[in-house]
Amino acid sequence: MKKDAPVKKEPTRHAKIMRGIVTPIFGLLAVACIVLGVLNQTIWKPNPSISASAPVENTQYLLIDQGVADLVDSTVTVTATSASATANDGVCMALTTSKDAAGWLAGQSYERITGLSSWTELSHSMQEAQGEAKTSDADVAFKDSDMWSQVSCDAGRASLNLKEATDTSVILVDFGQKISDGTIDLHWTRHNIPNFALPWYFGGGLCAILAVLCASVFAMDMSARRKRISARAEKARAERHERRKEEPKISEALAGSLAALKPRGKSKKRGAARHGRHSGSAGATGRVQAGESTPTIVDPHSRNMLAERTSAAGADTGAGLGTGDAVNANETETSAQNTQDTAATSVISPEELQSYFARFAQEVGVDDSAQTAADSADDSANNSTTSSDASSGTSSDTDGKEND
Amino acid sequence: MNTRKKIVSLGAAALSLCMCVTLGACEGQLPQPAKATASASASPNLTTDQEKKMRTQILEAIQKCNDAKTTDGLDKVMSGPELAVRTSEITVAQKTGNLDAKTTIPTDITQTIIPTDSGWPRSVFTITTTTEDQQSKRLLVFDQESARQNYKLWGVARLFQGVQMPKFTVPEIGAQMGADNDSNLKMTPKEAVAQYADVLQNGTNSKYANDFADDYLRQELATLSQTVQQGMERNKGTQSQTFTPVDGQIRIMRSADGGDLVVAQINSEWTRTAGEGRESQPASDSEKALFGDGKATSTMRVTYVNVVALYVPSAKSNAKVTAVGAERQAVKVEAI
Repeated sequence: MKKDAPVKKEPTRHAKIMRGIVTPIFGLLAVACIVLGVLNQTIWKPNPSISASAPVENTQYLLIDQGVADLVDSTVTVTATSASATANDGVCMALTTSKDAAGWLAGQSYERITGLSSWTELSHSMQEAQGEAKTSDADVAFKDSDMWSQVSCDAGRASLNLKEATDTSVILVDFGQKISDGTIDLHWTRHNIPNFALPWYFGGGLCAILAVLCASVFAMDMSARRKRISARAEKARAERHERRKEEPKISEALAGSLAALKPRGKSKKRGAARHGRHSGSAGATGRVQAGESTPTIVDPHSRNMLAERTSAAGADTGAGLGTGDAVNANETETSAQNTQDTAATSVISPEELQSYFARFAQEVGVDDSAQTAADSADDSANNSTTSSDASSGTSSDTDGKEND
Repeated sequence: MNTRKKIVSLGAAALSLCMCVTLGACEGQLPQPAKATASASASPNLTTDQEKKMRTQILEAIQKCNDAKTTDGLDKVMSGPELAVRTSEITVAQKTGNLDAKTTIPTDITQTIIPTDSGWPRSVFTITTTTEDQQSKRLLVFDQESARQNYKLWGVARLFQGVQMPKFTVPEIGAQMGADNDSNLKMTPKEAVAQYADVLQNGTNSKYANDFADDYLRQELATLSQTVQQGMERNKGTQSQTFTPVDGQIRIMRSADGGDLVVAQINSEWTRTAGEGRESQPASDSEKALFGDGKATSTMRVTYVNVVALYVPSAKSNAKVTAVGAERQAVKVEAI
């Protein structure tokens, strides 16, 4: 923290670049994005009104494919014009189905509108309809056919205004005779206009955030930032450590549980103890006798919280209490002789355990002596188990007698 | 430094101009039409509105002919057996002064059956309501001969009282037209018509009599035949009636349960020969009207047009082929 002070006074090269170049770039980009967003929302807004047309040449019939009329929007105005189309009923336009249109066009050539080639032009091609053109006296005029759901006829110009164009209907136009000066025009009024402004606003916002970050967090010296971070982490770690002191460690809890399990298994083998739990609770006396010569094992079941509390109140044993209340909770005896026992069962303080692990880490894999040491440690542990077993055996015998 | 600044600002200006050109006036992605779907080709041939418009136009034209008692223009709205029947009915009306009540066709309908079949000829079956004077419902068969022709009333059959009609798909979904050689039925529609003609001709003596449920037309014909027979026997005359299906005059609509509703034309000739040197006279008012001032001889031949509506159930069904409606009209009376 002491080092940070001069850094603040005189910005580093990194900070200069971040604040002097990168931040303005992001700032400019943000402004540009927002400006473009506004432009896209106002003067560059997509035109809701779309008009596309195609010329009609050398044909009498024109067919707008299914799916074209509702291509941009379901509201569409279709207009076919031809100044020379005045024969019969002039220009006639009908809304129908593709199969009916195919029936009417059988054997005829026609211009087919297949879609949009651009926003202002319709793609078109000449086509020959399948089938044979049959004529009979009973044939009706185009406008009189039963097959059209809508029909409109006029000299030189026909128009259909569809409110709900579907992708299954087609539009058939009959110019009455072969014409070459025709035009077909589709006019849509879009209800769903694509919103191009929103992505710009989003980008602008993002750039603004980046600019702010570049001027502040990213402009900081990397090492300072890291230090600050590490200092913060250290503090947090210390806090965590403090908190952890108050609760039992996993290793301790595990060791306690294992100790509770171990003697029960072995005592069964030897046929001495019938109930692990009973032996644990009653075994305090036996353990005192054995504990003087051999290392004691922590048995959380054989602890008396009350005893622990009283002894703790009397004299702060420090290390003994460090193992936690949970471990102490199972003490059974309250007599003065158990003060000794408490000290014996609370041998390992957290500091000691940590230093032990540190040592252990150094020793492991370095030489065989470490292995030997570990082995001897195991042996002593086994010894202690044996002694504790012995004591528990005794106690359970006592139990048995009491029961009798 | 100044020139550098200028270059930078020029570059920025050019860049922004480029952006303006590329980003401005954008209408979005050019839409492409979807590929044609199967549902488009499976749509009914007419909407119910179109059917109503077509039917109303036809019935109005018929009403005009009825009112004027003229057959002019009938062929524009009628075809097939109905054209022959209505022409005869109007001719009779011209003589008698009144159009028979059975010629009434209600304008309201109870059901319309519109197929989805592409190609021509096409049919639409429509069942009307009962008439104002509580006559039975009419089964109307409209027929479109080709794409460039309009629908015409091809046949009318008066449904028998209390008859159970098969169920059909709703017109919004569309039904299917049947084929006259469909073998998935009790008998093909063509066979059904031919056998029914035999049943009409021979009554209970027909070898097919048991394949058909009893119906009103059979009963009526049997009664009429019996009555005439008794009269003929008194003066030692003879009578015979032959029923012949008319080739091609058959319209079929598939019902929802797999059976077919078949409407067909069966022509019949009724030949009556009076005995003992007597003259054979027309047997009804309509025959009389049609015969007019013709010179009667010992033998009279009357040609009838019969339109029968048969329900042919599917092969799996246990039901018999049933006549559900019919129309019968004398069209020609001649002395030979």
